Amino acid sequence: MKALSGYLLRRLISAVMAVFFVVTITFFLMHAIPGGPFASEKEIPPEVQKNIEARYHLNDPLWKQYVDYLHNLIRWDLGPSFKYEATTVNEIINRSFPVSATLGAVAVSFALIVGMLSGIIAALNHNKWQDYLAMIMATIGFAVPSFIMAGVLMYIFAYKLRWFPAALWGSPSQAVLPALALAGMPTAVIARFMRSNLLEVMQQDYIRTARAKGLSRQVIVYRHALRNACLPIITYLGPLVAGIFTGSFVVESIFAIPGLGQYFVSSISNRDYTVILGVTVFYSIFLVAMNLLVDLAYVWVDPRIKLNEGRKA
Amino acid sequence: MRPILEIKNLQVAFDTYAGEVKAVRGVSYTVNPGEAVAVVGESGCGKSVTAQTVMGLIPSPPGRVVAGQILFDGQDLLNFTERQMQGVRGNQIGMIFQDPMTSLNPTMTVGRQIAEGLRKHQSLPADQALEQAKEMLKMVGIPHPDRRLNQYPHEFSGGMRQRAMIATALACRPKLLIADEPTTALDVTIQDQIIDLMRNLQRQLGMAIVLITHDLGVVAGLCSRVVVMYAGQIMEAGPVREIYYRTQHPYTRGLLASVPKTGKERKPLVSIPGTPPDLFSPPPGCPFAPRCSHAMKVCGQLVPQEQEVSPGHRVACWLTHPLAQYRKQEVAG
Repeated sequence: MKALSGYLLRRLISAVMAVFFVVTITFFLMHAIPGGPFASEKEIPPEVQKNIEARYHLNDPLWKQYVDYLHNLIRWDLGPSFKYEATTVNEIINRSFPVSATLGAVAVSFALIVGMLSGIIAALNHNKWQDYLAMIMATIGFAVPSFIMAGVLMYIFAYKLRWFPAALWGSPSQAVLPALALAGMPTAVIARFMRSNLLEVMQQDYIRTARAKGLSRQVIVYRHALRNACLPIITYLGPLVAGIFTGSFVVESIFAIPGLGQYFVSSISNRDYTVILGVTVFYSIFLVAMNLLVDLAYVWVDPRIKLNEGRKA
Repeated sequence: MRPILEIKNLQVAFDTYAGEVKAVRGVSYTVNPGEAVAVVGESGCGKSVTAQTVMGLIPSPPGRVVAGQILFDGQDLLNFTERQMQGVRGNQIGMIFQDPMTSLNPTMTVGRQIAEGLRKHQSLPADQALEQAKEMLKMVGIPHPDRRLNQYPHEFSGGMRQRAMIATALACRPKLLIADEPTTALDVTIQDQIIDLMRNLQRQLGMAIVLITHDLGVVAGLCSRVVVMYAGQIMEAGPVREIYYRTQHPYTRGLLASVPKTGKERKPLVSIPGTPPDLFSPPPGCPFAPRCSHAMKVCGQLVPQEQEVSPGHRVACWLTHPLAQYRKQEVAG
């Protein structure tokens, strides 16, 4: 227990450092882009421009803006949006993240269940039709970009078959198509991972030992092979969950879903400084948290990994 | 007395893209109940393939039994279904392997791995099986079995892991233990302990042992009979003393000479020149002929028939043929 709290403390410190660097780099990069949130083709009278800049503290020296931002960030105050009037970045995240997270959870669950199952089936039927079929599907899932997948799904299931609604957000049936579009790539990756890991594990000496004990094939796969084959997938899962949960811009905009993903891109073209920073900070915190979860999951799944081993390095 | 294991004219081949590899080419040997037999030979001579065929562990395809019989307790294991074999493996025949570092599942406690066979074959509930596993750990000389039971393989040293492997293999008290190079991956000092342990357990439990090794040095401590294999065939077989002191086959002689000697005199290591033949297309005559310093013309053309030179001592070598007696004296002298 003591090892765990010490470990968590160390991880927390490094997480804070990581987020700090992300904020700093994003902040200065963002200000290095020419233009600003209120630059537009229409001439604005200089007094108006000045007033606006004063209101958002854009006329302060850059270092002061930076320090102010950090100061507010500590209180988790991400500031007002420059683009959407009377809306704070906190509000944007609070409103749109649950949508992205719900969609993401469905997509990740689908990717995990379908990906792992097809990987297992493919590995256990190595070089048979099941294997070929699964790997063809995986190659398609891997190669087709999500926006094309989204279009195809929409055409078939919404336009032709009329099974699911084509867009918008609210009812469970509206989540199906975007979740599938979002899950395509991770499902393929997980299936391929699972297949190659399981094939490799089945060649291991301890599998032969298990056979020499007289265990049946099912027991060997289930009890000895799967757990060891799942280890590398956990590594992939951390960034995957973070990426999908915080939204995919493309899929969300195709299906007109009010998620967080759209803010990633639109905020940059809008030079909406606070939204850029806010969303980036939120994403990096999420990513760091997911990686921590992955490492903790590792300890739980693989007894060879100890928490305090980080100290040696 | 009926032998516990009787292998008759076993032939095993592997189908590869390059062709058929004839890994085992007519091997016959017997193991009596409670007896320890060593199968010796260099890598690739088919000794492990033979043993794994007994266990039904040869991956098929590509592996294939071409001919022969494997009688275990009078029944031909080659006719058994996979389900029947599962009842034999771990229950009637236990097996341990060369590399104890990789032969245990890294994500399962040692106790559970030992208990697994007991739960399967004796239908013991989990707690009783673990209790038995603890007894097994004690039996193989692992201190603090209570604590060790719940540890993972990485918390064990190499020798400890091989002990745990032995405990796993013997948990159901099999009539036969097949030990496939059990000491090869271990330090020399540990090798001795493991052989000692196997000898003690054999006396205690009365099982038969097939010890597969390439090291004639570890044989004498445990086994009463030796089978020398080369290129998928048996070159010489007989009681340990006969093999060591009345060596007939030049290959056996070479193996014995290449055992490192201890003592004041430091001699360079002896080895047999050349490499074993290609088993895609084995030579027509004696497979050892190309490397044999006593090879005669006939050796490269005809496979020598097995001869019994003294009770239980079989040799397949043209030098033991009556017509080759003059040549043999030359060799011995």
